[in-house]
Amino acid sequence: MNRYIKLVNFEVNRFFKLYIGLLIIVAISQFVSLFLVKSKYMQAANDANYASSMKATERFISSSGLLTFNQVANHLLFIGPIVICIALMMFYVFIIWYRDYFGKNTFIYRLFMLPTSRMTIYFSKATTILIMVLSLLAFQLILLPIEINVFQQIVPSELLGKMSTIDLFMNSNIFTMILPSNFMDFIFRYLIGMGLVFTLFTFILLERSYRWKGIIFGILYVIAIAGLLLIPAFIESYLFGEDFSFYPSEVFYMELGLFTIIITVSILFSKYLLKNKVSV
Amino acid sequence: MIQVKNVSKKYGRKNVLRDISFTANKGEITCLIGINGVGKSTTMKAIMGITPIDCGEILIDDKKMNHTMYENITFIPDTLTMLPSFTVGEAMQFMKDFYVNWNPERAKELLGFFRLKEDEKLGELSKGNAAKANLLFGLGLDVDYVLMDEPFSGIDMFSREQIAKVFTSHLIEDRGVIITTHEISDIEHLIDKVVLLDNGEILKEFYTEEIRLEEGKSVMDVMREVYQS
Repeated sequence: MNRYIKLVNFEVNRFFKLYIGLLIIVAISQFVSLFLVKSKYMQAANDANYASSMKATERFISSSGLLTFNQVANHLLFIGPIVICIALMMFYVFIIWYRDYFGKNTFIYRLFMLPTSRMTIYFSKATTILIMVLSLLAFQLILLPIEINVFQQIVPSELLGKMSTIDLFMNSNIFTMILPSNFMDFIFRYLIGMGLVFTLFTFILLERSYRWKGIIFGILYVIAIAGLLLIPAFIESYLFGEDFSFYPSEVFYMELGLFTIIITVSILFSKYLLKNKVSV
Repeated sequence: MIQVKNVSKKYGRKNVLRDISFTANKGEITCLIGINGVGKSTTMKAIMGITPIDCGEILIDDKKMNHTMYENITFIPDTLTMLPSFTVGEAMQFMKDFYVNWNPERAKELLGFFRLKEDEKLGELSKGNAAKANLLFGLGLDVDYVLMDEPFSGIDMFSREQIAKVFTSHLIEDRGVIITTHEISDIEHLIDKVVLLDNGEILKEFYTEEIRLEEGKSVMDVMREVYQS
């Protein structure tokens, strides 16, 4: 346990500076989008001379609508960094293994010669990914109320459509995706994420075990996992006919069960590969 | 004692090790000799359990290799095993954090012996100093067995001499050492036992003292006989 915590700490420290840089870029980009959306809206409002009279204001609002934070949240510079962060984290799933193999110094020798089981190394890498994802989510949750507050300060009150952080999470697709309002959905969403991480870890370890052949085995493994996930849809469509459909709760529990199986199988398979096949 | 029993290993279709068997005792320096690509490094990695073998058995003090034994056996490959962004001091701290058997006093002594500085970045070290740093991380551990893969490869004469001095110092003491090299001249006088490898097979295994006393031959003489026959 002690070495596991030390390894997690070590892995977190390895990406920390880069990660902080990424968070700063997210914050800057989102604040820029906030001012850009406000400026564009105010430009249109000023062009319509909205402040000249109450009627002009009402006319402008009826044609353009109130300015809400949802418009900021849909701006490319606001969503873009979140999408980039998700993409980078997917990329980091590969980097976290391959950087130890390649480069001037092969750190994988040291990792595999630590007096701790290889599964400790495996779980420390998975934990690091989870910490990265949840930290980004936490950062966004801290940032949003600040952004909303700043937004409400800079937009004239008569043109402002007030929106809270919760309203935003209910109305924006991307925020509903990263933070579902229901706790069970939240757990399930991040279970899917970890299922994906463990599946990709297995893919990487297959490649490290069998090299070129391993890539083919890895692709077959990913296809098998995808096939497994389609089982409920298959049962629904082909086994019971078109008139039949599962209740959403039934689909939920089936998918939950399938992801538990996927995670368990991926971990056990990875354990076998790490013990018997992976070499430096 | 390290026992390598009937070990075979294939990379794809290539047989890298073919049913090799030998032993290496504590308190002795055993040298695996052979040209590049004969399976010396694979043998070392197989002993350490970082390259799985296809068949055979490897025992360390009569026990199969597992992760707890990395407190008792260490491998010094011909490449740095630490992050290039680490300073020498940070790498020493890393070793201290993860190994119970890390000996800080011995590590400090090695640091002075090799004239390395704690604030030097590993990625900026010369090849000779990188090899010395590698030795420092390996020999700083209180282990019974030390495996060294080509410690003299591609480094200058003075660094070679300095590294060779380690073998006669108390830093090796009564540890069991397995060393691979194709540059035998630097350490010929230090070796107790030689295992000659070629094409994944053991051609000859002998004690240098016996060969010297009984046949009046040097290691180089035996190598000439075996490899040129």
